[in-house]
Amino acid sequence: MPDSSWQENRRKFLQAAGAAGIVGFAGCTGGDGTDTPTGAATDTDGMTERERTGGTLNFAQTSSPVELDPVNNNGGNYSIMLKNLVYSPVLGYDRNTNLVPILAEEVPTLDGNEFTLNLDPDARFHNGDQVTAEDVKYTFEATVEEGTSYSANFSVVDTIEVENDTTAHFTLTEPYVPILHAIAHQVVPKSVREEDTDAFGIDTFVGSGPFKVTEFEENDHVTMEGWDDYWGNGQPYLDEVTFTPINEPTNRVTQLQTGEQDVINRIPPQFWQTIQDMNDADVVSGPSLSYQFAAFNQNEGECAKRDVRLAIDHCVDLDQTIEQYIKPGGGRMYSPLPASVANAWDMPLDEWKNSWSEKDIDRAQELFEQAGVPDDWTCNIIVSSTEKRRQAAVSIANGIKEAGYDAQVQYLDFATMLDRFDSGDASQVNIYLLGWSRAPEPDRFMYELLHMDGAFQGQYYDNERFNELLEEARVTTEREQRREMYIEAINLFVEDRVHLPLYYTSVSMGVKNYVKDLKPHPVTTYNPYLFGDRNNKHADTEGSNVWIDR
Amino acid sequence: MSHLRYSVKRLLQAIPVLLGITSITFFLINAMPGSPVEVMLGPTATEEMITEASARYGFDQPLYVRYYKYILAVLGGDLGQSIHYGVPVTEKILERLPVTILLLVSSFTFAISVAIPLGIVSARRRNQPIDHGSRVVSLIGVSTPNFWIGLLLIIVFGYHLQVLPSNGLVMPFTPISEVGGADSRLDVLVETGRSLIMPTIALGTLQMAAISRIERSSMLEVLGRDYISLARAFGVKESVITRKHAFRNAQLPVVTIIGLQLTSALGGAVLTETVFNINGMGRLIIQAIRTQDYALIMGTTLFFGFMFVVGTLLTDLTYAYLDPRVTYEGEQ
Repeated sequence: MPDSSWQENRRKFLQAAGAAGIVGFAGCTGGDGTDTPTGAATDTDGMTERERTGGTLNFAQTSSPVELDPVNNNGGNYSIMLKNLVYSPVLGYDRNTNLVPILAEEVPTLDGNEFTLNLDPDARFHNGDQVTAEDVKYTFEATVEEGTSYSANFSVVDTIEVENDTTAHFTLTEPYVPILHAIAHQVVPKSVREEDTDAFGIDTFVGSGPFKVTEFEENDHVTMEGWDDYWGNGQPYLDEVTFTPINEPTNRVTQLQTGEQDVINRIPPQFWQTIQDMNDADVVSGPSLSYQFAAFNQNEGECAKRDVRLAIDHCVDLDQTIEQYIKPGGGRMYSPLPASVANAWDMPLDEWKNSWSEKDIDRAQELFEQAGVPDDWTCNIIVSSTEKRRQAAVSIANGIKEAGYDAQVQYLDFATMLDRFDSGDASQVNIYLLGWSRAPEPDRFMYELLHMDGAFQGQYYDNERFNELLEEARVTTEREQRREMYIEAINLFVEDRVHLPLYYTSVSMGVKNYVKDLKPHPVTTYNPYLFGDRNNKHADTEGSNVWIDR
Repeated sequence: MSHLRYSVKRLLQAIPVLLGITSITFFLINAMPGSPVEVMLGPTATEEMITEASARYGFDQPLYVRYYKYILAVLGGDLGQSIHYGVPVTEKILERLPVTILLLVSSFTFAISVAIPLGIVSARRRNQPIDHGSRVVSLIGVSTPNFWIGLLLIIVFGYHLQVLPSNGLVMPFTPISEVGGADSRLDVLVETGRSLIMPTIALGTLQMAAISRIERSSMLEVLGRDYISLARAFGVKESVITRKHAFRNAQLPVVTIIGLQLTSALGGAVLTETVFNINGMGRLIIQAIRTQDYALIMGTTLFFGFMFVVGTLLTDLTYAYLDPRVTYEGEQ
């Protein structure tokens, strides 16, 4: 429960500070950490902390969280977005997608298959208890013991030895560099969760993040209050945030127009102009860490032939498709790595960009003939029910038809899609369109998706060298060596047309102009980025602290 | 046969119907590709994780065993546990049911109260401007999907005029403190009314249009009968003829269509609740299907089947009230 006397004291302090003309702490006054965010981020010079503090922000999500327990993953991103505000993770990401310590004192260094994690001794849960190494161990082990979808992230962890309150020693079953991204995970208090596991995240919410849950009614609303006693640097300016799930975009936009919501999430392309035309609102957007692709079934069938894949690349003008159906809600991709990851790793993006073909139906027909594709071939394309992906699938099908072959697009629900995409059966699927979003680390976008043993691979690209590179890259600690391996692997990926990389989606929000300093974060689930980088005292990155200027 | 005996008999007859619905739904959802466990665990789940979770939820058992266990549980009043929500299905249905019932009652009240006068006036003013107008309204109502009507209402009354709330439904018993700007129960009820207007029109328009056309044609048929001509010949006023002699006799087909509209209204509630962000049974079903939550799909389908059976029974009983000549099992 909120400590009202504490809150009162804080208000008095802030009023006094405001009267003395103290300007808000560094990191709260704008600036731009993302590559290409656009919109309403507003300079706030001259405002005092007192003037910024207070108010309720009403935020419309597209779907409701199901629970708020970081051990579980029910409700997907809609739950994680809120968990990120309530529970602090061990490590987090700044706006440039670099790993930064949050509960940790520093980003651990991997030594073979071991590393030591040091926690910030000041870190506290909402109930005042210290965040200990035992809590970290309990959280990660619970995901495995309870068989939640996070368990795959920690399956490589052999043992976690608690050395003292703030130190834990991790031993892995094998060297695995991306483990640091797996531990960028929120921590729960062992004693509280163990007391009533079922109630945790539904009725009980004790985290160590900058906001505390005060009400949670699934499918109706979640209310949080800024935690005045936050253990990191500074406290949130916002008194309260209310999240309301509104699935229908017309309804969300209407709620923004009427002022019932101050911020609405996920703006479909057709509504961008509507919001931009509002006098008192704008669209805030930036690229997200997503990769939407069309994958070729290379297990059997015509698409197992490289010439056919090259031909299909010649059949479709992806620039035009993306211009027409995806923008401004996203942009073209040329490799499996999102631009922010590729830039952070200094990858040769321009080279890859130039490797994809222009639309050339004559050349496509030549390649089809060269590959010996029978005239009556029908290309089976399957796609889940996302509107943008459907449009991309139809464009590919139309291109194949233009080249003289038949193509059928089947729209499947996600469960059926999961069941079918990796069947390898050419009578069911030649091309499948899916999307992928993971932590900003090349392995996360490459191994699971493209390696023959990857959990989410369905294209069966069985290139020995390619698989070898992905295996080596995940156990090599030297970053430059890893970079070279990924470049070689992606060169093979592009040459062999393993996928047609399609587009990324943007993080987009409709924001009232009186909401200040709200900027998009490339990690989708970090949005709304209300208390950026947790203003954590270890990371040398710009934070943000959203406030309301009524 | 008394109405009570007849009702009991019809309810007993509903048992094989509900059993049929249960069986068909059970085998159909199990024939669907994919599994709820895979959806729950996500795309990166390993085989071991899937096997372990399948065993935990009993999906590793043969289909007939699961069916047998499910039927036994249902007979014992247990609709199972929702995988997605982690709570009993019955609890979830009871939580959402009042919302959908309020929406249905409201939309049918709207539909009947508009359609019957409209149908009567159209019949009495046959081929006059008011009849043509009514026909156009009905055609639009029948041919426009309710989600589209909902979106138009939101754009006009929510977005542009900003006079009605477009999101959610305030229940009459919501605590006063939870309703913004409400100081008394009356304020809450006013908000309930305001939040009901657009969903009611969106859901009720189809019913209204269908009922008004049936009302019109039924009234026309009755007004053309000999006993009505005789009444006219005796100089009985037209309003009295309509009210006392024609109206009740014309309602049998209308009652039938109202009963049948219950099914389409339940289907329409799914879309209306989605558009207006109302947490009723409709959105629960959508969520159940999206997540392949078998127990929840079964529970909600069974419940909708039960509602339909009850609706049909009420229709039959209303017949007897309206027309004493209607017989049950040969008895007068």
